[in-house]
Amino acid sequence: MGMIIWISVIFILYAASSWLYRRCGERALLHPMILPIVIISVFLIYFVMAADPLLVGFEHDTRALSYLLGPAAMLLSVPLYENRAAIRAEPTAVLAGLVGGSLVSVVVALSVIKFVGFSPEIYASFATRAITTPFALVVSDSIGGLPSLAAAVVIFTGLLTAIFGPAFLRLLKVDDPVAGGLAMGVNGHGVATAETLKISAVMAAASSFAMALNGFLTAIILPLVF
Amino acid sequence: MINKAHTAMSVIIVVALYWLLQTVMQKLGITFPPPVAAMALLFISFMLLARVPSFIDRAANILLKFLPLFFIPPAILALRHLDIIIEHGLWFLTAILLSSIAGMAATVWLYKLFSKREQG
Repeated sequence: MGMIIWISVIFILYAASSWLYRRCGERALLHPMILPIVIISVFLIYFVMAADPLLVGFEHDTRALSYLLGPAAMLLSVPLYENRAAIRAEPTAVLAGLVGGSLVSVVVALSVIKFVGFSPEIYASFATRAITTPFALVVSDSIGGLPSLAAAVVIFTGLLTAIFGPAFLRLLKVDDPVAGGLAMGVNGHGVATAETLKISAVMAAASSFAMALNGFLTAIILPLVF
Repeated sequence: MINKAHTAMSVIIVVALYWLLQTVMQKLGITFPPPVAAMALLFISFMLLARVPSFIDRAANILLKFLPLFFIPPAILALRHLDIIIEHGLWFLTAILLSSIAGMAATVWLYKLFSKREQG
């Protein structure tokens, strides 16, 4: 029963939020993920303070929806396959951008965390900031991080990239969809890749490729480093 | 109506395939993230077939359209660490913002640098 209620609530809020987003000319700050997250979080904070099991119930009841992240991430291979020519055109540039961008983003994030002197669990949770949620959940657990914090770091990074990324790319005068897609995918993973699907198929393919290869390499390298 | 049934069936088949792969990986004790393995295997299959099977294309159209929706529950579960977020939220935001700006700028800069070299 709880599952039907929570999933219906999320669907209804997401549908309302998507309608509002389109109605207001797709303004970045009205990204359809924001409204459901804020409303449900406020509701849960109000009750969680009094009853912690509600959060456990929420996780259990929304498991089916979260599970679809895996199959959906797997299906990003479709735009990747359909636009593989654009990525294969300049392989060295693609690899340099991907590996360099990923390293820089992780090193900067970990430097801030190290500078403040956070616990090893928080440090490990930020180490997975450059890979998408379903990958981060598995990897952060294996390196001693807090999976739900790692997932939150990844999702909020993705959300910020989805909201401000396209404007930042315009500021950098990036008109190449492969360069833009790589930057969005390396930094903003699945959430930002979902945003690129609205912009162009080539950008989405580059973003999917960046997300997949970055996840692939990070999943291999991080457990060896930690 | 038939189209909707086809789409629903395609999604069910894709989810079942993913679950099968995940189960096999678990049984074999492979700790590698299943979504990465699934994505790589599917891409290799498309290369071998030289096309995307229609049922996978149909499932991709619907699941990718709703991709942001699936991120909502794990984002909300960050509330588990509400105390840490309240205490250190500003530092977390600083780390995320600085690393995002630096990461995106580095990606674009390196891509452009090597792209010019490749083009001679």
